[in-house]
Parts: sequence; C-alpha cells; structure tokens
Amino acid sequence: MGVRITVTVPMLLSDCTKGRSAFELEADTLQGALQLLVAEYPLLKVHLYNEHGEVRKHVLIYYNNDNIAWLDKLDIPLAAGDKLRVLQAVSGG
Amino acid sequence: MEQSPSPSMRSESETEPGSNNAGERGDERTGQRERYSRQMLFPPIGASGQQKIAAAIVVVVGMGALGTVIANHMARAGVGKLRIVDRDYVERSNLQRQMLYDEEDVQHLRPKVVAAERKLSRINSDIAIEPVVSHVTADNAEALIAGADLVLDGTDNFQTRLLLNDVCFKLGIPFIYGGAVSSNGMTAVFIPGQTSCLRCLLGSGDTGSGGDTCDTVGVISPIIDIIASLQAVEALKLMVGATSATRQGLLSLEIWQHQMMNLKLPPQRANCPTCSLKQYPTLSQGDNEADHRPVTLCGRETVQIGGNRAIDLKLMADRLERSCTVTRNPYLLKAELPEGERLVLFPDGRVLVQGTEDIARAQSLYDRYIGS
Repeated sequence: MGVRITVTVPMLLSDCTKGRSAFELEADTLQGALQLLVAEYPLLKVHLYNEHGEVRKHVLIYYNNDNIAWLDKLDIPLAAGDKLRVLQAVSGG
Repeated sequence: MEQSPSPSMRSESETEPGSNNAGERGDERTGQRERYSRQMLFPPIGASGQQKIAAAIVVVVGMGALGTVIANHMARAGVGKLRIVDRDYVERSNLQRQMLYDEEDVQHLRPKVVAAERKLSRINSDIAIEPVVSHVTADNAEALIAGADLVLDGTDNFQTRLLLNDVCFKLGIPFIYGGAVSSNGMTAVFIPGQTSCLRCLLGSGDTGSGGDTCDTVGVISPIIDIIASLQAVEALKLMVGATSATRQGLLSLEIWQHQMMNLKLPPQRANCPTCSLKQYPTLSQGDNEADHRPVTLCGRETVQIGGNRAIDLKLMADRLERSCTVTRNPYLLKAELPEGERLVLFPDGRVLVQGTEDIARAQSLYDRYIGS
C-alpha cells in the first residue's frame, strides 16, 4: 500500500478526472504519483505533457509548495497528507 | 520604506500655503482631502501615502476586463498619472464584465481607452489620464512604459505579458501580473532585483500556446473583479512604499468550487534570459516582422493583419463605400463586406478581419480591399 495524497486539478480539466477537481491517489513516491495520475486518468495526460513527455509550458504542477520543475529529482518518498496540485497559468484578462 | 501616518504629517498637509491664491488652493486642498479622506484614514496610507500616490505614474496595459477594474481603482485612488493602453474597441460581449463601458460605447465603436478615459475623467478630473490606442509591440513597448513607477497587467495573452515582463525587468519597473478565465484567476508581483520574473514561472518555450482564454471557455465577472482588485492593492502598497506588506508568491483562486492557493514563486533561474542573463529576448529578437504577421485572435473569429504602415481612414472610407457599408469615427473604420466578413481598420495600420479564423482567407480579403 502506498501513501495517500490529495490531488487537485483545475475545474476546467475535471472532465478528464471523472468530474472531480479534488481526489486522492496512493503511491510511494512523487514519481509514482505522477505516473499513476496519468495512468488512472489518461485524458489528463495530453493536457499536462507534450509529445516529448515534458510538462506543457503553461501547466504548473506543484508538489506541496514546490513546482516539480524546480526539484532536482522526483524520486521523493511521499508523506501522508502531501498535496499534488495541477494548475494552468491563466492568460485571460 | 514602510510608511505610517503621524499627527505631524497630517497637520503639515492641512497647512494652507501663504499666497495670493491661498483661498483657491485652500478650496482645492479641501476638495482633495475630502475626496481621499477614507483612504487617508487608512493608517498604512495616510496623508504621506496619498501624496506618493498622487505623484505616481502607473501604466495599465490591456483595458479589457482586468484593466477596467484596475484603472477604476487607480483613478479613484488618485494616481497622479495613469496611462492606459489597448488596441481594441468596445463590443457588446464586453459589457458583461468590462465595467467602465456601456451600450453607447458599443454604438459609437469607441476604442476602449477612449471610452475608459471619458468615464475615468468623470470619476476623477484631478488626475492626468493618457489613453493610447495601440497594439503593444517590441517596437513601442519601451516608450509606452518608460518613466512608469509600475505596470499593471490587463492583457489577455502570454506573448504580450512576456514582452511587458522583459521591458519591466530591463527598466527596473515592478510588474503586477493578473489573469482570469472561467472561474479561475492568478496574480503575482514581479519586482526586478527582488523576485524572479514571469518568464521563470512560465518557462522559456514557445509563447504561442497560452491555455484557455475567455473567448474559448468563458469567464464570470466576479473572478475578474477579485483578481484585478488584488492587483490594485499590491499597486497601492508599492506606490506608498509598503514593501514589507507586498504579497509574496503566486496566488491562485478558483471561486466556483472555492479553492485558494498561495504558492511559491519560482527561484530566479540562472539561465533565465530576462531576469538573470538580461537578454530580454522579446526585445532583442529584432523581429519586427513578427508584430505585423497575421494572427488569429483565438476564439474571436478574427484575424489581425498589418500594422506596418499608417492608414488614412477618410481615404479608405471613400474607397470602401463603393462596395461596402462603412461606419467611421476618428479612431477606426468598420466595413461590412459583401462577402459577409467585416474589416476594422485602425490609423496605425492594423486591420481586423472579423468573421473568419482562416488566415489565408483573411489575407485574401485584406489584399482585395486594402491592397498590399
């Protein structure tokens, strides 16, 4: 059994996550959680990653208070209560 | 520097100057005191803060939904000089959320900054308002922003934001980002020399894809007011020098399902071409052609073309009236084409082809009616 964490996605992407914008995942590491997220919700994958598997430019994925883009490694053991938050930089105005 | 009001500051501002016009100036001062009295009673602003606000030069780029709310706050707060910049004119679909405009502005095809200036000058005739009808490009961005104390973001795309980000970091001017779409909004304060920049947040890849826009997924008005007001309050803090109160981080709000997150801004990237390497790529590309290339305005069934040579509206009206229904005001000309599309011509050379998102079709109509 992995560690249970909370995931939030923008409401605009909730049609890819069975209508939910907050849900839980169980994984051991951050890397595992990110893999599981797109495995469980394959429609989400195209919104988060480009064809090279890189996080899309206007997508911000935060692990607790850090954007995963700033982390040296993703092989981080998860702790209960950790949060994975998907955001899209907002361009409208 | 943090400012707090003191009795001596208040009494100083209340002292009437001795001159022949003392009575008149006294009336003016009384009027000013009355106008801003509630704001001056707020201790972090006070009389000295009000003087700083009155001396400030603020630029609002983009006078759509965010920009109108921001400019309203700035004008009412008594910002000394307010420059407002926008390329568009008022359309009916704007009225749901762009709070300075009304049906008369739509009927008269008023450029947004012209309509905004009319409204704002009735709200506060003591401040200088400078409306600029223009598309912000690498060619004009520095001139539009130079001399400002801060720049407030009312734009609707990341391409222009990255341009503003480059100019602000080059000139050392704080840039207050805001964005809103659907029921979502984000805002952050970027200060050259103190924080990382918008490019650090977004990454330095292509700027073409900017996510969802108000024209594709819609927007509800309250998120606009909230985000723009958060931008405005940070502007007030910066103007009065309340630097320790400046909000850190990236604030993300979702108001339909009530999510609020205050997240860390990125650390300054060592290879960021804006805030670390000081290359300012949007300015140094020297790619003026890019500013004039036809672009589809996402979700608006509109292609924008041109901008590299001035258009004489009177001359074009005479020419187009032979085959089209033409409406004209001092700022733009609108022609209903027999093909069904509409052309909107601006004196700076820009042409909007409305009714298509097909660039080839738009270019063909442009060539047919404007000439290349």
